[in-house]
Amino acid sequence: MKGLLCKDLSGIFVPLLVFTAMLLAGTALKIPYFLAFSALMIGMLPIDGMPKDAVSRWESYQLTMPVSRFGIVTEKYLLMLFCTAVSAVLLSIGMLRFLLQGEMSVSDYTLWIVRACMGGILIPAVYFPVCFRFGYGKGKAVYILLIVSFAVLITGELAVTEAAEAHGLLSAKVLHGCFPLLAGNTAVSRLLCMLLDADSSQIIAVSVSGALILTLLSWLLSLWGFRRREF
Amino acid sequence: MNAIEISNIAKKYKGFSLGPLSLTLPAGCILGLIGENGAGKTTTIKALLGMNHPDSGEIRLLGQPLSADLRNETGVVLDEVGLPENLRIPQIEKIMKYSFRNWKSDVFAEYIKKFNLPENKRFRTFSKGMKMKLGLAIALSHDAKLLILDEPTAGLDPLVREELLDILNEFTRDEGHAVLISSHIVSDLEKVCDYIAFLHKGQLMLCEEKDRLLEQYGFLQTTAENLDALEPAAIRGKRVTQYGAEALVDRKLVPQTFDIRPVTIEELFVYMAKEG
Repeated sequence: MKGLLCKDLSGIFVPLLVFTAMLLAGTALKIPYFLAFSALMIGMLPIDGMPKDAVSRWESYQLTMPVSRFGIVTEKYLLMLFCTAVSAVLLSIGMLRFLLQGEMSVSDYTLWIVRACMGGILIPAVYFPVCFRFGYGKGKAVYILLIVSFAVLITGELAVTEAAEAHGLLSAKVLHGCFPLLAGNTAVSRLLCMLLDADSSQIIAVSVSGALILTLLSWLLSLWGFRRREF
Repeated sequence: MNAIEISNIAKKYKGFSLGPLSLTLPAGCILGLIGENGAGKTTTIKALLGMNHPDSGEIRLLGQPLSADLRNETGVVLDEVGLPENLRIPQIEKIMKYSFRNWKSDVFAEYIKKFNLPENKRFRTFSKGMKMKLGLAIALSHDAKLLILDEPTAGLDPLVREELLDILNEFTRDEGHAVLISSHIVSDLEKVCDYIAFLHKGQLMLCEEKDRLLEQYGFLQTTAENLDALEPAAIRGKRVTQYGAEALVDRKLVPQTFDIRPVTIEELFVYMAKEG
């Protein structure tokens, strides 16, 4: 597994430097978008390696090396956790300026970091099992779907926030107004209302434990799929 | 000890089935796997490497069942060497050093020098021959006891192919070493192999010592009438044209009055495959 980690780390080294520079630029120029985007991209770097592995045929070549299928899958998840940790550390350093200058509260600061890291975990956690079981071809379709869903979610969230600011309403009420389909006493709407009305510490706790459970499930699913895959 | 023991492996795909197939490769020998496109050579090799899962049967390499750890003792070169394209030789060596228990940096450096491979160029800029040489250098630099090579000579020029065959000969000087090599270029295999296995439409037609095959079979050029007069069991494959007849025959079953010339492994395969 050490060899695989070495290979993947050398593959992400240059993009890691580029996104770190972008993140620092975001801090210097006071552009939070740069910070969040770079952090998200660092978290998603392990995904970038999968198509390259498929194109170069490393996917099958690595099976000729003394590493088990368990090791191959686990290595990608370790890389994912490593990138998430790097992303969290860099983002905390980068956003420290906003915190120290009083432009951001501690809870907002923490929320930004958690959100960016969750994005970095969420996409690989869904993408990896598909890739490990069916290969990069099908994985790519899932990846595109995820990116589109992510964009829709972010747009939706922005709409909710803007509406809340405009009407000075509570976020749960705004949610019902913006997404009428989610109105009513359904499980989804109750969960979303809970999340929107929760304080930042609750959101952080839910996000972190959710991410951990998702990672674990995704890893198990990837192991199951990759053990059945044939080359 | 046998380097490879395959017992009754079978694998079914849509439109193709391999086996049941059994073969054995003793240590110290080179086995050439010959077959037309789609005969099942790569499927067999992938089964040996654990890349596919046979429906039935058992595989043992170097006396052990397949495992990740066993790959420390096998060197593999696939038809396409799948190394990361953006890396250079020193980076690739580092990966291998961390992967193989018995990695020998000095041996690797010798092969890189011998094969004249550029250390400062990225793998993607390598020619097909250079990629194959690098794959071979990796396979030979970790004290492997068994080499498994899938079409390693495909796309290589004759000089490089000759060089590769010399290396394989040198490798099997150690009696504990063995090589399984598949190739379309049957003449290459004829030069180095001790054993020949013919795969045809997923079935193993034969697996014999090369010398015994060359001794047993001969090539007969005669008339169609003469050929008809021969015992049917003597003929393993034939081609009749308006100008005469050619047949692959079992020397023992053909009267000595016939002029039988030695057969090449390529002729042997072509005629047997046509008959099969």
